[in-house]
Amino acid sequence: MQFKDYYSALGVAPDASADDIKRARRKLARKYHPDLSKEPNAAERMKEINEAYEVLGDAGKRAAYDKLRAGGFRQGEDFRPPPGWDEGFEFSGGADGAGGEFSDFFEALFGGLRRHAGARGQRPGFTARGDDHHASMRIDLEDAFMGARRQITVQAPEWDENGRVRLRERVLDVAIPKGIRAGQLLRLPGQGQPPPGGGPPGDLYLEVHFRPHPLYRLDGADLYLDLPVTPWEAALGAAVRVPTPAGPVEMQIPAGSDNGRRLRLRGRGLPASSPGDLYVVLRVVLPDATNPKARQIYETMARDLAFDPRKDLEKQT
Amino acid sequence: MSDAETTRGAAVLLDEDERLDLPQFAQACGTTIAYVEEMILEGMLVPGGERPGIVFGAAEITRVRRALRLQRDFDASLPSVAVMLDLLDEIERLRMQLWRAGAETG
Repeated sequence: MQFKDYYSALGVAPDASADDIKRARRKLARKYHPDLSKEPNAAERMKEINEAYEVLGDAGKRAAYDKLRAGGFRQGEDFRPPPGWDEGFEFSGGADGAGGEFSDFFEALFGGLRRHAGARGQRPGFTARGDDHHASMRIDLEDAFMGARRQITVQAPEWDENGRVRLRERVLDVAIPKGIRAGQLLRLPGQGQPPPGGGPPGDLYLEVHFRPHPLYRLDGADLYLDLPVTPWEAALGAAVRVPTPAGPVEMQIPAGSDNGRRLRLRGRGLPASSPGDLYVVLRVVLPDATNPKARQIYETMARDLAFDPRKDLEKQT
Repeated sequence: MSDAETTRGAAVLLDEDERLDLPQFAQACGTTIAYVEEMILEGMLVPGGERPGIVFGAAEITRVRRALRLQRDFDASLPSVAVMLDLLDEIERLRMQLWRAGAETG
């Protein structure tokens, strides 16, 4: 496994005070929190930040980590914890509810304690079932349209007979039901975490997100498509071919359509008991006037059409 | 670390009609019954049904998980998380409007 430099993850000096560390973490959380941020790697970064804070924000864990780091390890370097590295330091528990969220590096150093903490801290009112886990899954529009099977890799900490923790990877083969929508949850019974003391595992929840599609925008079960059209198709009306996830269809553009007009293809959205619709938004594209023929036609229009799109503006003043 | 195995998981889609009781809901959110009750008191969650048989829609799981993350990562109080959730809902609604209008929301 690779050594992690938690100080550089938080962007603080190794001699930073506890307050500095807290401040740095708050600042980074505002920037990278996956619920607030639009940074592309926000979730990944937030995980690193939380992991670093879990260690540096706790005096005992920080002291033990500092001793390790003083051994000269650098970020990304190959690392095995030396035996007895944590001797003489006092810290308790892994991260609360962080099972599977942190790196194998963290689990190897601090994960072993969660087992005991977990066994003691059994939530009242629950049977000895393991925790439910959550993960997100990104799928393509086509997967929701047709239904699909996708493999997803999940990591979960596991204890060996010596009570040491390691992350075990599991590949799950998941059937994505046709018509699934963004934000919906898939439950995989028994694929969560087994409880530390042994017993039935919890469930795994997968939250579905869609990768951006080059053509369609999604709104629930409805799809939106921008359709470029010529000025004469918009003005005179035309029959055009429109792509849909199920294949191209013929659509009639009514004469006198304006830029931005929305035409509905009923039932061409995501499948469901009442399927979504496909909205086609017309985008009028002007031919450029760089060639002489086009120039001549524009000049004819300018001369022969009494067209003033700004006449309402004039009236106001 | 490399002994990955493939498990075929039977996936159950939780649709809008799925209802969970309080203990099921709290477990699915990865939190305690007390926390869910606090969210109800703050008006952040509106359960269906009447006590003691109150039920929650599966769609609310995502909302509670989001509240838990925000609270943990900003050491925020529940009332301030309630405000954050409201603002995030508003942003989402506005982004949706931009989307429909075909504007880049990049």
